[in-house]
Amino acid sequence: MLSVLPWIVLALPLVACIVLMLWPTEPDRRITRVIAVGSVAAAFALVIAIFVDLLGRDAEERTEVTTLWEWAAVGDLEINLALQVDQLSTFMMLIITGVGSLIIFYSMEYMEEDRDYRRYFAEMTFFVFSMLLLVLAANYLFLIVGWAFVGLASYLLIGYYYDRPSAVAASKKAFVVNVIGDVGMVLAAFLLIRDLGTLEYTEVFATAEGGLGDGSTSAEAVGFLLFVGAAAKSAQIPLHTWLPDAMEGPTPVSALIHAATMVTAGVYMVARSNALYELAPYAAGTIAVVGAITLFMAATIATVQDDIKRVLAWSTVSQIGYMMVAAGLGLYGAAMFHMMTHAFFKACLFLSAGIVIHAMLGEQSLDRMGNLRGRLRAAFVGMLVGALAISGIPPFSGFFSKDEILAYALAQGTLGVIVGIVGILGAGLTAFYMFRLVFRAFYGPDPDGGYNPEPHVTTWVMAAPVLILAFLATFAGWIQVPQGWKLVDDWLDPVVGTPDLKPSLGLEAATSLVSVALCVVAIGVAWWLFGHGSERRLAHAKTLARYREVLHQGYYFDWAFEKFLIEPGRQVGAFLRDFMEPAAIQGSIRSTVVATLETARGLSFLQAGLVRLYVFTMIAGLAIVGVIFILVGT
Amino acid sequence: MTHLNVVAATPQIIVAAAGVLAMSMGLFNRYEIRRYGPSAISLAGIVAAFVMIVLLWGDREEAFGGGIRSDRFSLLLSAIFLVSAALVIGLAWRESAAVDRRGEFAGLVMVAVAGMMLVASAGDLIVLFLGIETLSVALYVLCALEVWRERSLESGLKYLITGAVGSSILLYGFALLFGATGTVDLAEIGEQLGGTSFAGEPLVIAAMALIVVGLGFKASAVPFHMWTPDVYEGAPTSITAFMSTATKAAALAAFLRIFQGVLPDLAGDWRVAIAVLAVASIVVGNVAALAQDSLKRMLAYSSIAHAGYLLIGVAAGSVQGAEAVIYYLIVYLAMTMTAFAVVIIREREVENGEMLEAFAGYARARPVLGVAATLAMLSLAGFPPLAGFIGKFLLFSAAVEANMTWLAIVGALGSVVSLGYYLRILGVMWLGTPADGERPARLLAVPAPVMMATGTAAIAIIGLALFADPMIDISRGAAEALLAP
Repeated sequence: MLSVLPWIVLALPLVACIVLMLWPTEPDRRITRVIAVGSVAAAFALVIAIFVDLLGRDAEERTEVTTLWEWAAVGDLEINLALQVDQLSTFMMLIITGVGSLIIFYSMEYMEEDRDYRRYFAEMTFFVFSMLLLVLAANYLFLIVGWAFVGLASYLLIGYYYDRPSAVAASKKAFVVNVIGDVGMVLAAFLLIRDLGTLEYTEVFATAEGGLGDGSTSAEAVGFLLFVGAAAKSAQIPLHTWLPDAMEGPTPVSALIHAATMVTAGVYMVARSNALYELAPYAAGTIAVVGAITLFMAATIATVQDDIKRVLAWSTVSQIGYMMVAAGLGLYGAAMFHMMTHAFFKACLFLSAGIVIHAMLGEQSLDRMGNLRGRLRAAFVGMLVGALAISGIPPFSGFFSKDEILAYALAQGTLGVIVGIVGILGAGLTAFYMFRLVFRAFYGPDPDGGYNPEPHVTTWVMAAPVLILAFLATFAGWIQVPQGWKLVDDWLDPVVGTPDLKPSLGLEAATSLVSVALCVVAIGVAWWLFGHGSERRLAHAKTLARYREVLHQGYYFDWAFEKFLIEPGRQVGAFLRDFMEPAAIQGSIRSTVVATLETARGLSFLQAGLVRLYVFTMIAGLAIVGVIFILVGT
Repeated sequence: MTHLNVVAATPQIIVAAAGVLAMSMGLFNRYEIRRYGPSAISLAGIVAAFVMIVLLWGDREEAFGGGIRSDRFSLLLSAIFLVSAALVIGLAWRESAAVDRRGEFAGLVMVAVAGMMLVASAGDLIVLFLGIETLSVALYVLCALEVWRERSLESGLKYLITGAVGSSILLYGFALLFGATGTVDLAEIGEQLGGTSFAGEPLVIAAMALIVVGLGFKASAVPFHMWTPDVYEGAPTSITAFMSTATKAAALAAFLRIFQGVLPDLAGDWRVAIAVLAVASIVVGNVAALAQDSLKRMLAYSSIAHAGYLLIGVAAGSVQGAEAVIYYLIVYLAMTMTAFAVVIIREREVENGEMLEAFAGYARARPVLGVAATLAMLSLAGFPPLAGFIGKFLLFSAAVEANMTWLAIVGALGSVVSLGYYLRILGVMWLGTPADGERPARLLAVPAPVMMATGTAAIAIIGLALFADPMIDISRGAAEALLAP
């Protein structure tokens, strides 16, 4: 059964996408809904069947690779179109199809007022297919294919409102950054081919130690290059700048792609490649350090954002930083556990924000919100639960997953202690910026000028997914309890292993106590600043203006890229155009002038000067080639 | 050596004969014959030559005392030229150059193909040079075929003058090679230079340098590329498509035939120079393409960059490298033809149809063409899992295995830069709004032959990705034939 089911799971959203695209006219909206929601929900049901099937097996027999066809064979290297079902991919599939069906269900109502209803759902199902391919692939090549496909889907959906220039710019930026990551992964694949002669997971991980060598340069290079891909996809510094801009897409897209699933693919890939990172301690350490820097910087930036979705976007960057810290330290179980709880509470937060935005006809600025808690109850419940969960207040899910990362990190030697402390500080900041959002949007007085029109009430289609996700964000943490049971770690153990160094009871209790205390203080400060209208907030904003400006500019990353990469690139391009090919500008002018004035002279319009230049370049090139030959020959 | 064995040379003979016949069709008075005759005869010749290629497929045979070789390499490359010619004849169905001078158009394309086939199947230096000149002379005329258009004339003349310099440099190289070895026969040259005695010989070194430059010109590698944008822009677009696919394939065939097939033992000497040309082409081609507003010029620079990618495979100096080059040439044919087809279709509809702004919102108005263009652009950029990605993957991994990882890195970075302009085209096509009104101006019905050629090329992009394995196998067979004794 396991040889067929994953293919069906993969095919369902793809078929849905193709049917929607090929439908000759814009189909009836009911048909679109049934196809889109039905395919993903059916995929979810089948994934549960796979999960149950795996549960019924011994832990060692839960890996199953099935090959559809041999795609390319180059010498000894064989690349197959094959899927690998195991604990890790099943875990990911459950999140993707589960959260995915909820969000697509929610979209039915959210996108009701938009044109191109069909295109939206076709692209969403294409995304689900791509993401499933990414996690199901049995080798690095199809991982890269899925990796590129989700990038493409993300590009299409960020640019969904294609008549908004900002959306088009954001989608391009996201695509280009993601392709930089793709290049890193492709180069890593070349090194694997050179040293191991294979890209299949099972063979790579089995032969890595002998073929690459423990701590060797090649192992480190592979580790670093793979992380370039992970950092681009998962928005880690310095490849993070595309994610906040990606909020130009519709809100359900932000919830599914830019919060719950795609952006965590980098963490999945590092966890999947755990056998390689064991051989590459420096690369792994780099991941932890980059994760720590990212989680802290992104959290500080989130404290000054005024756009409700951008707060959540920076928060996502920060939360993935936590996962990267865990993955870099070898705490793969903890990383995946936090990925799961994050998928629940962040999707819940985004969908709640979506209700607010939908109710206010597209308004996203916190300045235009206030006192919404009585008006939009479902959004308020979702936002509050999500905020409590992400802040790590017990008994909500974030408490369990974040504290596991922090406590285990503190037990992993010097590097672990440093990043762990950064993580605890970040937790305080997280509570502060999340409750800043909650208090500014849902408490205090009405915004200046009141609401016009009054926010409209949510229907059950949008409220139900939020409430289900709120339920999960509240209780999902209980499947993994400190010093108690560890269902996620045990399930994933055969694939990713468990860390050798475990924190003591005392350390775990102390970590929880300190971080929860810090969060409570942060929430108190947020209440004091934001709970009662804008006076106190604006007074303090003025005194802190200089620091706020640095944060508003996102530590000037965008500015630096523009100044040191894009602008010089443009100049080189302009230089080449103006000097290397005079014909483009001169030629057209000259040929017109010459044609009118000197037709009598026959061929003189040939711009003899230019041709002489061309021939001269060729001779100069010949000289260069000659010199190279002489240098190499001697 | 003694017997003619004409059978092995039948594809070349058929194509040359079809070319001459097609040209004479233009002399008839009857309109139907003038209109359909040249294309029909050319296509029939292409099909017949193709059948002969399939029949001859196998181990090496020699015709005319070793002057022409028919092996898997030459046959596969000939097939590429033939497919390219067939697509171009289809695409040019309504193009003014082809309508007004139908006989010359189809006839000269066939003559050029015959020249290319001679290049791929040459057994000695004379035939190789003969082939290069045959294809060049035909192309000089084809570029200038729209005689009433100044840019077309200018294009033909520029190509003629710079081409003469390129050819003479190449001929110098051949002469020195002959001087060093005392023979023009490729196999014998290979035997003589196989040992180490000639490795440091100045004569051989000079010969190799001159040949690299001469062939680099035909492949439009930097710094011998200066003519490319001007000539490509001025020539009739179908001819531009022909030049950037078939001519490039012929130049690469000559590269492989000489360096990989005859001088493999001297790889240490020539690979660095070729690698340098590859890097220069990738950098200049991709960066300069970013600044273009004319699609034809952009594709010209893109073809310069692709010459760079292809030369990576030559520089690798291994069977794997040659295999990757051959596979990529096939893929490159499909995707470049598709890209040019879209330009050709648009050019017929509006003035300045090759400019980027003419494509604003075009894909939304014509979704099928839009999808084809999207496939072509993404594949050209090397987006996984399209055929272009597989080709680049093979090329770059051949470089990595030849311990030239830096070449692979340059290539990969070049592909990232190239996304800048390919995405720009796609952005304008799908998301742009036309300057006047909702829909792009003037959408005309596309003639059936043009549509068929476009569709074939676009479907091939997907087919080559889905069924990569058999195609790679065939390419490997061709690559191995290069070195077969």
